[in-house]
Amino acid sequence: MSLLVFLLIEASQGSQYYQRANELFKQQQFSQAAESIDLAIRKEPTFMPAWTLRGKIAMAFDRFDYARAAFERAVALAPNSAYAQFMLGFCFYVDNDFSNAIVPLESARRLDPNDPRSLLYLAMSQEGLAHLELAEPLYQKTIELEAKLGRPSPETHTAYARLLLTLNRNEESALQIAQVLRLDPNSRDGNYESGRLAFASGDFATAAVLGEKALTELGSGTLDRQIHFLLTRSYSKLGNTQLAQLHRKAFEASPPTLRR
Amino acid sequence: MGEFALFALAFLGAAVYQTLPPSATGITFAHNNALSARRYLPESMGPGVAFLDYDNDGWMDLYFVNSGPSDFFTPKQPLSNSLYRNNHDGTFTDVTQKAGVTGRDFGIGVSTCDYNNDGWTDLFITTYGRNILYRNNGNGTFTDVTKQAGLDAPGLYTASVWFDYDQNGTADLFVGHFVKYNKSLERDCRQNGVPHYCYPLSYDPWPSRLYQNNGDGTFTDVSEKSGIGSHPGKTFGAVATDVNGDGLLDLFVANDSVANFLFLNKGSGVFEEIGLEAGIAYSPDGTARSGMGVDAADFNNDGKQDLFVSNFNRERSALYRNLGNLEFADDAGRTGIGAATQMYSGWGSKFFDFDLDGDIDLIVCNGHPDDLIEKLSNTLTYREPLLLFHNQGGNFVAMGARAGEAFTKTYPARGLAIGDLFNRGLPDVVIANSGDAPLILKHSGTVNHWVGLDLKGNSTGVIISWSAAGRRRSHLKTAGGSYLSASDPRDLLGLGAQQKLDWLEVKWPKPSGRVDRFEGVAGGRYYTLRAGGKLE
Repeated sequence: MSLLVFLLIEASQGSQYYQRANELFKQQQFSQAAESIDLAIRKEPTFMPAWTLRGKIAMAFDRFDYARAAFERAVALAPNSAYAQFMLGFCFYVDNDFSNAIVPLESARRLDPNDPRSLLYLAMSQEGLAHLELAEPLYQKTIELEAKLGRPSPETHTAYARLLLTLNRNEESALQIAQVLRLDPNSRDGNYESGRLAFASGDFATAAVLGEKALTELGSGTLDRQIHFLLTRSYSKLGNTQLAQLHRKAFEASPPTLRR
Repeated sequence: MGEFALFALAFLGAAVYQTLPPSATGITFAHNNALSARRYLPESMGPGVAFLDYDNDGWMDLYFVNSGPSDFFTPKQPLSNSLYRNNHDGTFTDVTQKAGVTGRDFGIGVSTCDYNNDGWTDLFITTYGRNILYRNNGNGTFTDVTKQAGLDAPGLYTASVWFDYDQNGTADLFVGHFVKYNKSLERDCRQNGVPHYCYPLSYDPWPSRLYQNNGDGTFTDVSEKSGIGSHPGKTFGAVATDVNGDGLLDLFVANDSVANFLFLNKGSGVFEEIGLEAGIAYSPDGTARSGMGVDAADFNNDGKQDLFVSNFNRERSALYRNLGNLEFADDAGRTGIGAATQMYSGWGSKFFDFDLDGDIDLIVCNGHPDDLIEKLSNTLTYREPLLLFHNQGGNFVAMGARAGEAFTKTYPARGLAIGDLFNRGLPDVVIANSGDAPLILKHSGTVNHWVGLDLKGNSTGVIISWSAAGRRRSHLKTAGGSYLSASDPRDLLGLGAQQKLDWLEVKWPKPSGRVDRFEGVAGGRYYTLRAGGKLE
């Protein structure tokens, strides 16, 4: 068997293992996916998508060290791959390593200017570094790009609204939250943030209504604890001590959200 | 006027602060943080520093706290706190041994007060172990009277605040307690096999203590009776102020990883904890932050006491604007403080008017508690910069390098105190660093004018009001604040371009309750005043 034929067979087998790993990953069978992707990489070590998939599987196990190494390998194999660059930056971002996230996310943005994800994570990374003057225009550009592509995202509007809220720019934040609720009236984040804005403006009854609605909606961004906190304060202001106590108990019983 | 003053400083090429090295001051103290391979929690907490005039010569002396023996630490050589006497010429002399204030146990923080109203400033040192009350004998020496005073309960103590909560004319004592702790309760918080300091979340909370001054040199533990002891916390910083203007001193307490407390003084010796209702217990989205340093002042000149809390990195410091009706709103975002503090772990924090323009500015010192943080993070560092904020119409602008070379460097800072070391009417700064020498920052001068007030007797809660060129200002004299540290008890009133006050009014708290008023007070000097006395 010639070397060329051998390599072609190996590559083909590698591709099969990769496809299998990808399917398993989608089914959230991460251990089996990890075994399959290892085989894929052994058969075809220069196949970039296998490395990005290995990185994603490692992230599913919270092994950011392995994930970062896999994404860095993917970038080394295909420096012009916007996806590989994005995943490397995304990995840094999720691991709270905002300063290292910037360069690959910038590369991803340059390589694929029409992908709003790299812009959004750049914005959030800059916000994480307290570079708010850089973060804000990035959020605005993300929103513009998503609108241009016809894919406006409630998540982007929520993230920008939260930045504005931390700056005490409540009226501007309310405009963004209005967009969130226009795109998804049942958004847990949107209803919660709208409730917070209502509370801040002194409209405690509306805050309570929106908080209760948020509590019934699904979503992973806003924790039950946060909503119970809003409802505790809202009902307390409304003089409804019974409901205030109920939510205070639920709030205090929830796991703390301290991050370090 | 503030911007003019800064412009003038910049024009003259002078930074606001210059660093005084040990060779200039004679202060050779260096803190030993007892750093161990195991990383025991108290190692990361101290130290504090105090300004005090222990010999009543009219000049501020300095007291530095050191660690010491404990159940996890046996020093190779004896460690000592240090008292430095001010020589009036910019230098200091170590008088610790002569004064008898070496300390014992694992020292953490310090506060000052004339608790027995004999006219001499006494010292209180918080420790991991048993706290120390040093009574000033009035002859350059002190006596450890802790046990006979009834203050020797063991614990892991942090802030101490002297304030007359019962308005009987003697200072009572709040002592903040951190977590329930001893060596056997230490947690193992290894990361990648290496021990790191544990997050306070790993330990159980513990209540702080309130001691009522009996007026005879002894104290009664009223923690339970007052309500203070019913609230287990993880206290780092505390400040006494009057948040609702009822003339009673309340207590704001910053806790790490659990809710902050606002103890409202209800009178008759009882406090009600209203932190959640007041909006200061948690972040705006209900997260318990890591409260460390605190202070209180009226930063926006609306007559109400606002609150500041320095928090852990990524949590942002909080600037709670007093809305009235016992409600606060966190203005950190709008004022610029949030973004400027986001990446740092803040400790000592103090509101003060560094350019004497009459508006309250702010200083915050920082330092990550974990000396190994750089092995875990590419973004965070153990040593962190100082932040000096200039109040410009209610916005706080970080001065950066304009504040001085020290503000371009990084430190493992903890305690911070403000005072006039050279009797020039200028606020100098002293930072107590963990495991390092302190940082002494001398003010470079300003074009603005000032009046200094040295209020004698029980003055916490005094309201000082004044007018300069028709502009009225007011200042409530708080107690405690910052982190583990005590600032100069004298008050510097910023006059801006005016060389004298139109009038000065001092409203004393009960039991006196009197108001002393003076017209046409000349600037550029300190005045001494007792309730009902003359301005001298």
